[in-house]
Amino acid sequence: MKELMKGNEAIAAGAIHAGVKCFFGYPITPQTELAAYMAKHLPKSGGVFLQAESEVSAINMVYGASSAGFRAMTSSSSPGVSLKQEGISFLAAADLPCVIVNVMRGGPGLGGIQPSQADYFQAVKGGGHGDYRLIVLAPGNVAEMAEMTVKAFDLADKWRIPVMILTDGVLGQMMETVDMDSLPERKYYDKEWAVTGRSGRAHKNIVKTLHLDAEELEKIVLEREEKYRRIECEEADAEEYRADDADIIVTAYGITSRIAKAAVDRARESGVRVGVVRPKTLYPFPSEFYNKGYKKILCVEMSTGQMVEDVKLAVKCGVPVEFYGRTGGMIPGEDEIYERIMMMAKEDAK
Amino acid sequence: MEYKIIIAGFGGQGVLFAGKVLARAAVLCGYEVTWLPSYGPEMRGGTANCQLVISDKLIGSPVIKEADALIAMNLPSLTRFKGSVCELIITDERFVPGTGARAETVGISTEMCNGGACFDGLTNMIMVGALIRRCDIFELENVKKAIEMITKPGVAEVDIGAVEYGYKKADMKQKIVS
Repeated sequence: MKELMKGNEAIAAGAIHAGVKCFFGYPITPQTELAAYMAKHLPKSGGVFLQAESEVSAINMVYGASSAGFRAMTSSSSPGVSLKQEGISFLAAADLPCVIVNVMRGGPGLGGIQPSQADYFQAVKGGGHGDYRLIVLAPGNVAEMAEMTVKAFDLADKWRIPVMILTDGVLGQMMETVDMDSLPERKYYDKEWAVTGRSGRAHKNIVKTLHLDAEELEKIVLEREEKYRRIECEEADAEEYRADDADIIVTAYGITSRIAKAAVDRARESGVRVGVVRPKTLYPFPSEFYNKGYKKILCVEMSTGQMVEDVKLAVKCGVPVEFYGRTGGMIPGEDEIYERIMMMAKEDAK
Repeated sequence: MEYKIIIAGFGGQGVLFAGKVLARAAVLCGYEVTWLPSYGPEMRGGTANCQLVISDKLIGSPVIKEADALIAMNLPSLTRFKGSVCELIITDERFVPGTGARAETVGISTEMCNGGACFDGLTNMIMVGALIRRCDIFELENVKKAIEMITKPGVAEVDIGAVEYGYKKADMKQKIVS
């Protein structure tokens, strides 16, 4: 049955569907409904909801629960996710599967509480220290918030990697219909590495991140890099919208992508051959989707320009890439994007 | 078809709830819908609003720049939003004189509903009733059903009564002040 849900609630419902057993969090606007939903519903499904004393504490509780083999998650918004970065680096270093949700708001600093996409660098390039990556997923509507959460847990277990769901205050706060019956079934993975007691095993399972021997640490880091390369080959994903015959591509993720689609529909009515490429995975970045003979690319973000760098890398400077952004909690309007498209089309015609 | 509604008023007047009722009713009518609440400093200062986009196709932006309809439950909301609505404004009849909005403005008496105080605190539902009477998007039956779906047992009846009251009050024969 189709339910009307907030994006934040859809993530929580998706996580429970995916069999999350531990949620640790700390309230912050605009993601608090996620924790509230968990507080109400997770205990009923046999899980543990715990409001930690801080974001730092919550992410380290995730480390503990994940080490013991449980599906675990935490959620926060931008300033809170900055606090979690040390823990995220440790989770990546220990190859621990977990799901971290960032419902982005305007920054830097405490910034504001209105929606933003300015944490792209932090999520995709690594906000913590060391050579590591997260798989980063970017849902574009409320139904996808639930669906991608199920996927996030599966990817985390499959690759033994922390997965971040990078979304924003609009998608978190807005209600839309979700068909909970159509969610994919969760997958199961053996966790023979989990710290669950010796139980007659010949070897000890140890989860740790300290390797004082440089040679040993390099070997471990390079093995993990090898894993990242495989993830890049197998998991990159994007949606193409009216892109078949397009000269111009508008690229955007999350809430911005749907505003872009509306602008593209209008530009199509004005006779411009324009389409949308919407990355669903931000890491791995779906580079191949940009190399299909397009003449120009416009990257739209709620930031001063972060994903645009990955778009430029994807086309290896072979295609002109322009940028349009609003920041600080401002949301680009359909008409603003439409005007930029028309401007680009006009330049093309000259 | 795309129809955009802003509902605004003081915190506690049921602004968000009114939006949820209409959102649920729109789903029952077979439409796509987005419901976006204000969660910014203005809400913390006492006023709240929510934005509804109703469409027969997938919705782009849930953020409204120009609305088709506005429910303004207090004067500050009417002042703030009247310039960004093009078709219909539902508000308290006391706020109507001198509104100066380009949209058709329907003033509803919410003080002495039904000759008494039986709809006390239900301005939101009265205005929902008035709105659905004046726009062609919703069916009254679906709004009633929506209320039954999202309220606690025993509450729906009085909410539905208020919707019906507003629906009657906004009848085309009523005086319109523009």
